[in-house]
Amino acid sequence: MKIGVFVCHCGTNIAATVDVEKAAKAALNLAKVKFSTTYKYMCSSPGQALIKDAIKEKGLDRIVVCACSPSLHEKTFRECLKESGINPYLLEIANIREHCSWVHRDRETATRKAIEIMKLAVTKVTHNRPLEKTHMPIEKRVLVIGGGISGIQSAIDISFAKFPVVIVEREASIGGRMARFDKTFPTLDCAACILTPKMVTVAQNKYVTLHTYAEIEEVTGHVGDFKVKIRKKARFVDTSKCTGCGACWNKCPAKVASEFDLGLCKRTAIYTPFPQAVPNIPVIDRENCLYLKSKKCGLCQKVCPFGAINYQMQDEIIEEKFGAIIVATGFTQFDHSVYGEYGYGKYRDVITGLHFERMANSSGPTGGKIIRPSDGKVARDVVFIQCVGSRDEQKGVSYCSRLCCMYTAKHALLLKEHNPDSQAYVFYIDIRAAGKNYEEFVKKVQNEYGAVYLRGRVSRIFEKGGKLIVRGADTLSGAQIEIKADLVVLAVGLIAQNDAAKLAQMLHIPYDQNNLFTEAHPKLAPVETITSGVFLTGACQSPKDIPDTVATASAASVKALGLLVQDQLEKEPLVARVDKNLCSGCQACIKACSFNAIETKEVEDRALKRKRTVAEVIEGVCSGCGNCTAVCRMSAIDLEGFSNRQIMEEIEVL
Amino acid sequence: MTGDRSEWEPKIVGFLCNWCSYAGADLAGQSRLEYPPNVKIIRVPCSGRVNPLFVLKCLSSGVDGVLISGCHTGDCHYSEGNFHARRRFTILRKLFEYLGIDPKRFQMAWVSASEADKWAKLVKGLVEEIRQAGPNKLGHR
Amino acid sequence: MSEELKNKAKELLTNKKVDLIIGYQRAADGVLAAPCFIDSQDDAEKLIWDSYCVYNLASYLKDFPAKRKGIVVKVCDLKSITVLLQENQVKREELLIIAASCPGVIDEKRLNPLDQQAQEIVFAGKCKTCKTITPAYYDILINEPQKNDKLSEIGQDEYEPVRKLEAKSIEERFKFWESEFSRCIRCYACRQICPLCYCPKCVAEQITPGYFSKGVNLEGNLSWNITRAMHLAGRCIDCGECERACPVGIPLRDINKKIEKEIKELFKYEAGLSVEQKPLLSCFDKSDPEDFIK
Repeated sequence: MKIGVFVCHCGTNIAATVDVEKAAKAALNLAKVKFSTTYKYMCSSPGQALIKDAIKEKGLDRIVVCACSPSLHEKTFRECLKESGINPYLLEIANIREHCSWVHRDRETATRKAIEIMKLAVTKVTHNRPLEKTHMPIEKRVLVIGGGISGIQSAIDISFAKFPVVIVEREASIGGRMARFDKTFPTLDCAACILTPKMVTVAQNKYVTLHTYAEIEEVTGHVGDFKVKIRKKARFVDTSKCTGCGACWNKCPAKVASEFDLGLCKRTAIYTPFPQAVPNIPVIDRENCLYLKSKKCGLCQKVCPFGAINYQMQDEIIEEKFGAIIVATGFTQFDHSVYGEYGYGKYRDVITGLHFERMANSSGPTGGKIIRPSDGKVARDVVFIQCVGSRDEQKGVSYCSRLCCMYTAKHALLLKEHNPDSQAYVFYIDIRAAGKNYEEFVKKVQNEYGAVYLRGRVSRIFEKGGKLIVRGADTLSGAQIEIKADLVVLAVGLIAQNDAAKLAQMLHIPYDQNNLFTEAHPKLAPVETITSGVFLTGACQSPKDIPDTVATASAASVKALGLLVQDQLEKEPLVARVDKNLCSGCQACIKACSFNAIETKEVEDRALKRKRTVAEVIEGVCSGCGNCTAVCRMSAIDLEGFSNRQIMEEIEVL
Repeated sequence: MTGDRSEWEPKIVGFLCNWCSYAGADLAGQSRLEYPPNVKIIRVPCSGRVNPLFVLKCLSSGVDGVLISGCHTGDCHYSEGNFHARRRFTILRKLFEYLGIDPKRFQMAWVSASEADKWAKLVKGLVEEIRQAGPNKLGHR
Repeated sequence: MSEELKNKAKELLTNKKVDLIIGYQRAADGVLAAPCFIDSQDDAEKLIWDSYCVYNLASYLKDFPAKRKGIVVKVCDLKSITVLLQENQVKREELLIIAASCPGVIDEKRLNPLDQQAQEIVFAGKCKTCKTITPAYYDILINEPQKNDKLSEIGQDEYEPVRKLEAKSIEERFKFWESEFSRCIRCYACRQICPLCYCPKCVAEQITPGYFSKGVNLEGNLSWNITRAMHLAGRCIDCGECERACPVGIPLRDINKKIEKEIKELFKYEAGLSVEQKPLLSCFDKSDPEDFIK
């Protein structure tokens, strides 16, 4: 072994405080160091040439560069080694600038310390091993979980790059929450007008496969090679035969409350959730279908001109492989029944924002009339209550749901447009309108549409003389307020889907105390997760409005495409490795690994003459954090580049 | 380096995570903050990489103080490594105390990549504390 | 009770429910109990069960891989089997757990070897504070005596020895342990007897790197004892075998109990409660305490 030590002056950055010549000389006293020298700027081309020449002339096989922090030039010098025909991982950087010359003033002290830092690096490099980046094949397909606007946008973006993408949506149609909205803030274009074309685009796209009425059953594997089991729930309608003519649902006698319209109207047992459904193929709701319940009826089968109804249909589980997964599962509404004082459930005229959306929608259950659900009369005085469930650690969630201020303002505006004689009152805590043209929108609602904004909480709602009496405080004027309202609209917060934690566990992605999925880095990796190959978009990560949702959808797509365009996955080789002779198979490492990068493997134990289970690192998945090495009692698992031996010997030479 | 206390200078080993604390120490350099030279830094990818055996090795090799420094909880580059380290070393530290090993000799800190000032102050404080604790008698040096 | 055990054992072996039974037989001295490995009906006669059955037989499970093993266990022994199951060292389907309701076992070290029978039984320290008689789960229960009356001290603070040490000054504690560890001869009996020390090659014996001094000296002895304790953190179920096996009488249980007490207080964690439990050091809680961290 011939180690070369190269001490950089860094102009005067190092040389002014550290006696670089002395350091270079001291290097020659260290075991296996065969050559040392100094240079003004080691990272410059002549500096690198100096290293390359020395490698060639002196036959050096390991290099220590005493210079600035490895975060700056480790890559540079690795490249330099590579160009000289030495494995790039046979390099160590001694950080004698940031950690030495720049923080000490006394030359003697700094020089002594620089030599010690160099000694550590020389000791460490002695045990570096030549490493090669690992390569793994990539299954060039993307799975998008969730067919709302987020998933739709992701799928469209990926199809642009001509990679196959599969959307799995658990409802009978794609479209998600946005399909229920009336108009969208702040521009007031109608949600359907901008969403429906996208739904159609995605359905007709030859790169996109839609699995509606389907759920994720199991996810195994890792980036580049996820194996996913998808449960295709029995629709009882043959999608290859059905044309969506509607004969069946027009005749179906079983009527139940429509989920899509939040019970504001009825649907039949065979149904599509809404008229613009994609695919426009109904499903039979097995709980309410008379035939499936008791073999009576069978009308839909009789009237179907295409013989598409099949009562014998079973759930089907398919397994597919993907290189990347985009999670676009969205959100659900906060259950505001905990706010007894708002009388939800007790008074029919206390509704949520989403009910309001459906009523305002001209193709909705009221045909666009904003009325009191109790008596069908036009709503005149309407009270909107913000922050229902949001920013309330006691009863709800601690975070701000971000959209409620805006959709409430929009509702106040729509109310005025639909019912010109009406008056909107908005109880708020703070107005958060931080978005392009958002503040202006709220101002417009207040100034041009006459919505009265009252800063305070509502303490009680009760019924009196056919009206809802809303009592609250206006904290700005200090006055107690009582409003006789026709309708009360609760701006309920956004929360994670009920089964979010289950999905997160399947995908091995972390989630927070609110079951919102956790991004890999809050600022610099907002759509990535720590599980490589799994990306997040939309409100499953945190409440987002449509623009942000679409933006993260495209961002997640780019990240997924960034993977897919590679021929192979290239990974840093500084990963954990198991010595199977030392491994007891206790699996402490497997349980401690945040990345699910360790699996079990059966090996033949020659000494014991039997099979034994040991741990094995999936190199492509290991992030090289080394946590496993510290939980391994037998030190059977070690980390390349930061091995137990290297660290122990570093301590010894100190 | 034995016996004579006047010549004795505390020798401290710092295991710094690559992403936060090592970078924080880098920033201290970039900001030209001056601090004592007693801490020798061993770079590790994550505080979770640190094995209690390393700490023992230090203390039994005559190192006077050991510091493990990582990202603040919630900021770990690997998301959870520092949580693991925290639990692991809480136990080790309790055990040290129980066995009569001065807990000053084994310390932990969270230093982010932007906390250059905290790093410099931490080193100063640590060196002072170890100076007061005196040379480590466990070690063979 | 021994009769019941013998009959059960015979039945199990006859019906080929197990390949062997790990149990206790009377030792050569006629008083103490020694482990035995019974694979025939006739040998089942040897089996005994009484307060002299001190050993934690879980240590022997690994010696019979791929065999269906019946094993006689006490409350504490079963917990170590739970940990072994948790750590995939034994397969539940290869185990037939014969739980013996436990009268408390003797403190072997307090027996006068010359006059064992005449002497009044002194119970092991761990039994004096143990309130449980029947193991948490089992396949077969050998039932009988209620808790022995002689265990009158039950209910006392199991951490009393730990607290006494904690109350001392740090210098006193160091002196105490320095003197205790100075007797350590690094025979590793504590490790050999421990059912949970099953590493193929202990770190104490690894060479590249050598994790700590192999010599009998303060730093080596201290490192070994700390390593042993740390490697049992969240795993030790206080069967006390290490302390019993230690030929120089180091109070190892006082170390194990200290960690047990701390993790109970700090992390609400107890070892050996369930197979599904995650290992203490392979998991964390975001709200774990961190008051010592700067």
